[in-house]
Amino acid sequence: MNEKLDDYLQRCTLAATDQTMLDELSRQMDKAVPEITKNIRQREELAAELRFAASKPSQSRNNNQD
Amino acid sequence: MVSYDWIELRTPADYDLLIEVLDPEFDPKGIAQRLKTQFTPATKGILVEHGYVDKDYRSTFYSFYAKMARPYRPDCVRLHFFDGTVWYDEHRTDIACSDLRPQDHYFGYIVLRPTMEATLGRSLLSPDMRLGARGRAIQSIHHANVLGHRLPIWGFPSMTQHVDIAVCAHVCCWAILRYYSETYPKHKEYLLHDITKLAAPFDPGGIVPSLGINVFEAERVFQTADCFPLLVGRRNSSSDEAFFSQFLAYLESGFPLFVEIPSKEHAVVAVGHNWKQSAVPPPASSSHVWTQVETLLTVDDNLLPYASIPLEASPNAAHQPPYAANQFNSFIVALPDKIFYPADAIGVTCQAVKRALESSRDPDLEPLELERYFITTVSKLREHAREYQSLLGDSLVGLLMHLKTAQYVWVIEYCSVRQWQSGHIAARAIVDATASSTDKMPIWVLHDEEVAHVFDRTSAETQPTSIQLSRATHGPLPRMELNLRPVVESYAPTGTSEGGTVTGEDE
Repeated sequence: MNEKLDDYLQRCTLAATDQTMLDELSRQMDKAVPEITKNIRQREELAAELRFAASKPSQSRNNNQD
Repeated sequence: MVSYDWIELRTPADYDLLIEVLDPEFDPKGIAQRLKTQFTPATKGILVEHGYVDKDYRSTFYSFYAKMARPYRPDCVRLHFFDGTVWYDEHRTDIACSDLRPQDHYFGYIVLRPTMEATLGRSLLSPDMRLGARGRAIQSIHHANVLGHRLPIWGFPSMTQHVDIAVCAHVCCWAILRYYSETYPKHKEYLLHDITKLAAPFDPGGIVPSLGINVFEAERVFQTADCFPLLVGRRNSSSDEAFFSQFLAYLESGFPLFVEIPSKEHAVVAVGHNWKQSAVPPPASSSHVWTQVETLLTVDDNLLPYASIPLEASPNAAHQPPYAANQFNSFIVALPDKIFYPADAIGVTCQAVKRALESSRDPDLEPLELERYFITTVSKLREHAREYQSLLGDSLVGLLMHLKTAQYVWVIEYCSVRQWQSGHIAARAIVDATASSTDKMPIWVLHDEEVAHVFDRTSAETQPTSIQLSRATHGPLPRMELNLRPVVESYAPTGTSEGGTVTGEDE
């Protein structure tokens, strides 16, 4: 930890550790990583589909002239 | 030659005086009609600046209009808008006002191009003068030099498309990049014709841009302009929450969004939103604060800026807005570098943290019914801490001042519906926006009203140091509204048409 922050924390009143919450946080974050990877992959796949559709002539062009 | 006219606006019909002072190639009749139906009655005077040289019009003039057989003028007209405190002193060729502070009474300007059609050029207007605009909007401070005065305006750049040389999507890219260049010194200024050239891998000549540009080409514009565009699509109605929670996360982060509306063959910039007046309990399927959004504010080149757009078109509305948010199909957010943790990752992290908080939460405390997340800079975070020092307490403020983070952080806030209504939160997480999406503990700080857990990101250990916040007031923690500026509620219309004028509608 950066020394200045560590010094600051040592001057604060330390709280009792809520180990139940912290263990659950650790467990949940472990589970989150594969879900995040899946979400990002799906977003990129959809973006690729949009780019492909847009690359076809006269489609998906934004030119409203109302 | 530069010359000036002053128009005093006693009633909306006085906008028609523009027809007397402007040449027909500026389409004064069409412009007067737009202004009288879309501005609040707070605007009481227009200074007409003839012979204005506009850099964006000139960029298209040199490359396009000057090469045409039909003669086009090189000069524009600029209209400056003031409230009723200001008048024009023709003898002194100066604006005057009773408190000697014209900068406090200026609503911004519109440039008119001499192109006969689509004459409404580069504009910088305060959202406060836009009828129907309300909520919060992304704005930056701009300055206009008027008769030797340097007048500030908070707003977002806009213009209508030229139709021939540039279309709506070009204008969206231009508006976003102009906002960036005015707000962040590292961003270069791009003129409108530069944008038309950036969209294609080669110079397509004059007429080709009128066919429009697609999301791929818009991404290219942002990439070439040293931004990092992220394209987010909407798969189907079942993924609405995933789409709109990302949409709102970036919007609330202060990033204007390039929005594609394929059913209208149109693109607009989303720049703001308005929360519902009364908080509503979220449906069981969603706890994101998108459920609390009433309308969005868009900068649409077919309308004056800050059009208020509903989430869904109402079949019973007397005046239909041109589109609704449920017609949005994709958006592009032009991110700065150093933001590696995207909104779809923070959405998952948000749920993970919430489940952990709930695992040991006192059942007597209010439930965590709503969540919200956005990016901000550590500077803004510290500004908020300083402003609300008495509510946050010295320990938390000191912690935020000592925290060594990257420039950007994600902020996640949790609250009950009741707390949302009163602008308070129950817990907050500050997450590293530069974290890898595979980082198993990207959190800097997690705190509620009593305790803060500080994670050591220099170590592989994930055990935090927990400190008591020891807040003297024991009052509620305030919600952060950091990135968007409030819009001062518009005046009610005063007889522009029967039944009032509705937002966002052009005649």
